[in-house]
Amino acid sequence: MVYKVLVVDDSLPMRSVLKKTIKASGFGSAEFFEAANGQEALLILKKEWLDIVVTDYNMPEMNGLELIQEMKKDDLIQAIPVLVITTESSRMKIDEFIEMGAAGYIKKPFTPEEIKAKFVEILGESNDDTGIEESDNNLDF
Amino acid sequence: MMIQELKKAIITSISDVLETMFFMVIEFDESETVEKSKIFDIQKAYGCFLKFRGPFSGKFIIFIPEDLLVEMAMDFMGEESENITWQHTEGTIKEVINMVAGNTFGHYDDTIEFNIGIPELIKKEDIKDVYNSDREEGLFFRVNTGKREIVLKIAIDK
Repeated sequence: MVYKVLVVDDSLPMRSVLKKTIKASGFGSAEFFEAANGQEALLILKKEWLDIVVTDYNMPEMNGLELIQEMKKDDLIQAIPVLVITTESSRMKIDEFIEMGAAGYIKKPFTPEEIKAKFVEILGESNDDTGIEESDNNLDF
Repeated sequence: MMIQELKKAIITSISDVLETMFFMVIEFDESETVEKSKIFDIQKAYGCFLKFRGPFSGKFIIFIPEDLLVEMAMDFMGEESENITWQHTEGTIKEVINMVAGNTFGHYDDTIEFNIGIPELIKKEDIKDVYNSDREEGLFFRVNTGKREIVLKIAIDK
């Protein structure tokens, strides 16, 4: 199975690092989509059927929490799991992510092992032993 | 605000971020004066700041020599130097200060909520002035990476 993963972060380097870390985690094959904020993510979510959204919290225009709120309003995309990657460390904020419907969170800095563990927790064990193959689907952000 | 706890949290945070995401071996240099810092042996440096609000407010400020920042971007992204653009270097310094700030407050007290802003670059022409301004206020950290030094400051609003 090839998982369709939407990576949402306003930082170009962080999007690249996340894609590479997901690949390095050895979870399975993945096709990547990218967005620089929540609004751009929603545009992609309306066009593509995705398996998981991996999003930063602190972004201009629409942050990760607002993205989750918007997704929950839409019957077609509300069930897509959202993994929040964040520098936020306050328990209250992290509780808020989960209460709003995030499937999980990872604090930056992170390791490939942490990413893999969360993917397994959210998507289940990968049945693909061949490693991740990358296919980029980037809008011009 | 407990200064010693904050200082300890910042040191832990800097170590976590630079070692985990940039594979750097670092030391904190407290033996020399700020004026002897290696960072302004060179003219080219990047600067970035990040404001925060909470039980106490202020901003983090970071300075990284350009050549070190390029190396950090390469290590961070797993790219060769010819593939590193200004978007990568600027994105990298913003990500460093973002991660250091977020982790600092987690290590300081994760029951307290701080609102962290969006990182902003300091204009090239302003870097030295910002570096030298109110240097006696807040906490100042010199991070020795071997060849070059990273300087980080947290300025607390009065």
